[in-house]
Amino acid sequence: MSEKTKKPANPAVVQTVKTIAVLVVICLVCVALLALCNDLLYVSEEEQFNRAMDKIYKDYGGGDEEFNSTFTVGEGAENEFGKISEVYKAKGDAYVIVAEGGGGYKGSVSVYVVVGKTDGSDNVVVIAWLVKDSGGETLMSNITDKQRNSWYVGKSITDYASADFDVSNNKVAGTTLTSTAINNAVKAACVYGINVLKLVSTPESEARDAVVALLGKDYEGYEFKSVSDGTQFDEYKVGDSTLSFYFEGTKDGADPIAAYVYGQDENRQIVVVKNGLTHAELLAADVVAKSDNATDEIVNKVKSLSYFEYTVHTYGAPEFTFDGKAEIDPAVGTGDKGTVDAVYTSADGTLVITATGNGGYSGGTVTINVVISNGTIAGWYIVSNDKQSFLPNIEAVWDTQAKDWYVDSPIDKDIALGNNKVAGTSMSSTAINNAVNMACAYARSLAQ
Amino acid sequence: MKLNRFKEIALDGTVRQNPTFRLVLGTCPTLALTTAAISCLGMGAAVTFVLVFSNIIISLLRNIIPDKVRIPCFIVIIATFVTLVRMFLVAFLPDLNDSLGMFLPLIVVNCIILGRAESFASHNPVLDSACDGLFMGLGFTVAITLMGIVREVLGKGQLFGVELWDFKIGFFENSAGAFLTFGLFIAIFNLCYNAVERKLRHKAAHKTAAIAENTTEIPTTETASQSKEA
Repeated sequence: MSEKTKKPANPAVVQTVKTIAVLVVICLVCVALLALCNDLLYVSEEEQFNRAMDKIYKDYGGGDEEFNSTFTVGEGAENEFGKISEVYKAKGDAYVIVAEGGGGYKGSVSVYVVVGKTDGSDNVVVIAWLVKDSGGETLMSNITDKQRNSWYVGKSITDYASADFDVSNNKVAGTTLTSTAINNAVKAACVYGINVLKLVSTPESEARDAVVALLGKDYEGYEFKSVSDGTQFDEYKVGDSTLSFYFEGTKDGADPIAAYVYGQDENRQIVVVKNGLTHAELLAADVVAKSDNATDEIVNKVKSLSYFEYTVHTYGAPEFTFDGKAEIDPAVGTGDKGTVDAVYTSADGTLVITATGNGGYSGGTVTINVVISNGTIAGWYIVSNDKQSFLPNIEAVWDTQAKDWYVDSPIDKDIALGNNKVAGTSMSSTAINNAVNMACAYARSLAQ
Repeated sequence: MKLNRFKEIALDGTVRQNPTFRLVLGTCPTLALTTAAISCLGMGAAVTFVLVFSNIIISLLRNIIPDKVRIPCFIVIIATFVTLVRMFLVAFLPDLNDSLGMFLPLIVVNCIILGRAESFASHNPVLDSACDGLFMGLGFTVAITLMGIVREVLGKGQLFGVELWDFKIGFFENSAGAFLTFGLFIAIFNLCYNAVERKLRHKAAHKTAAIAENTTEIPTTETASQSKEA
């Protein structure tokens, strides 16, 4: 009779199984406990939003109908400062914008920014802001309620580029990066409020709206930059209509345009032309678009103004009536000292000569406009430069010194560099001097 | 648990092995969160809770958990309690949760907790381990709160968020101020601790010497009486 013997278990295997079993059991128990607690303690997005609003609006009870409507964020959700993820309509014509600002210590910070009009004011301001999600910002605790109640609050959203919104005035020492992320989020919300929600009417938004109304949706993507400051330019008057704004519009993959706005409100006449054309091209070209009420006189005036505005007036030349652009004679306009790039003439004999001077720092050049009137230099202005890293030294003393260099000097002979230089910027000053002499030489040749 | 044992654990946790000033553990939250005393209290309470409960569970399971997987098991248990604390704070104290930020989940890797689990809870009974967790947590809480008070008062002119005065020294709000305050606290704490310990040792040495003197005198008396009897 054979006896069946039980094979003893391998102690190493038993130990391994026991080890794994214990670990697995501990994990399962922990997971079960966490799942249960998660179910009990879970805070929904809605609850989080209600809590934030509770903090901002002391009397907010939650579930308020005024907060229930959310907007499709859509186009314009991203701007140079950050990204908008949600928008809610809030109490009293205000909006809660959930904006994400980058540049933080570990990434980005998500912030509720409430913007709208406060009681008794037409100004759209930042009513409150509150951090929604601090991401990986380990020093967020340094930013307290005191900062939350003072930074940005009550400041007009149109001032987002001003010192009121500058991070240097709205930061906690040692928490600069987190403060920067908050700053970017608040600015992103302001820009969204202006551009997309259209809470305020700015010259830029007016120009954009007018151009879109005029040209259709194809022109929606244009970014408009106001070149004028809203001053009425009397010298550009056409009858009773004055030029109120001039905008430059750019868009990726499309021709740059310039929009000229004459008159105000319902009497506004808009003429849109291609930007960056030479004067001759502009005179020959049709306008891109014009409002129905824009008169031929205004169209013609715009055509005569456009290139001058774009190339000369922007740099601060004295206001004078631009009449034409002369052809450059290369024999006179090119020399060792530099080149003459353009000559603008006016009916009263004033010339604006764009000249580039050689001999600058690191073999570079400086391009300037020289205004010549009655045989003397009336003024000069820096247009651009190449490799002149010390040129800011001259710009720093522009008002006190540099703008008076060469002024009232007769053009009948070359002008020496003399004292027309800034210490430490001799080479850039030399290039300017060469450009001035090139312009003078060309003016002399025209006079002959 | 005997009273003496309880006293020893309490003294170890709060003074002799104070995790912040003696063992210099948990320095990340100590340096980063001590700009506001209220955050320190919150952090201390969270760490104490995790310490107490993880010590209890680890002590209970100390004979079941195989030695080879003890660290993963400790981590799982600690992480569970940390997550529970976080869920609780998110649900009921969101402001505190925001102010603790990343340092709350980072309690999982806090050396104090893993250190006590490994060196104490896994070798001692439940009640001792719970007391150890409680007093270690208290030691940590008191230490960082003291630092928080100093940095908040000097750096912000506030105490527990209440404005005291306009005077403030920005240096104490930044990292360099944190290191300086921490260093000064360690120095002062250890100076006081060493002075007290020296005094106690001196006292104990006196006591031992006196006892030794008494013990040498007694046999002499006995010997005298014995010889008298003889």
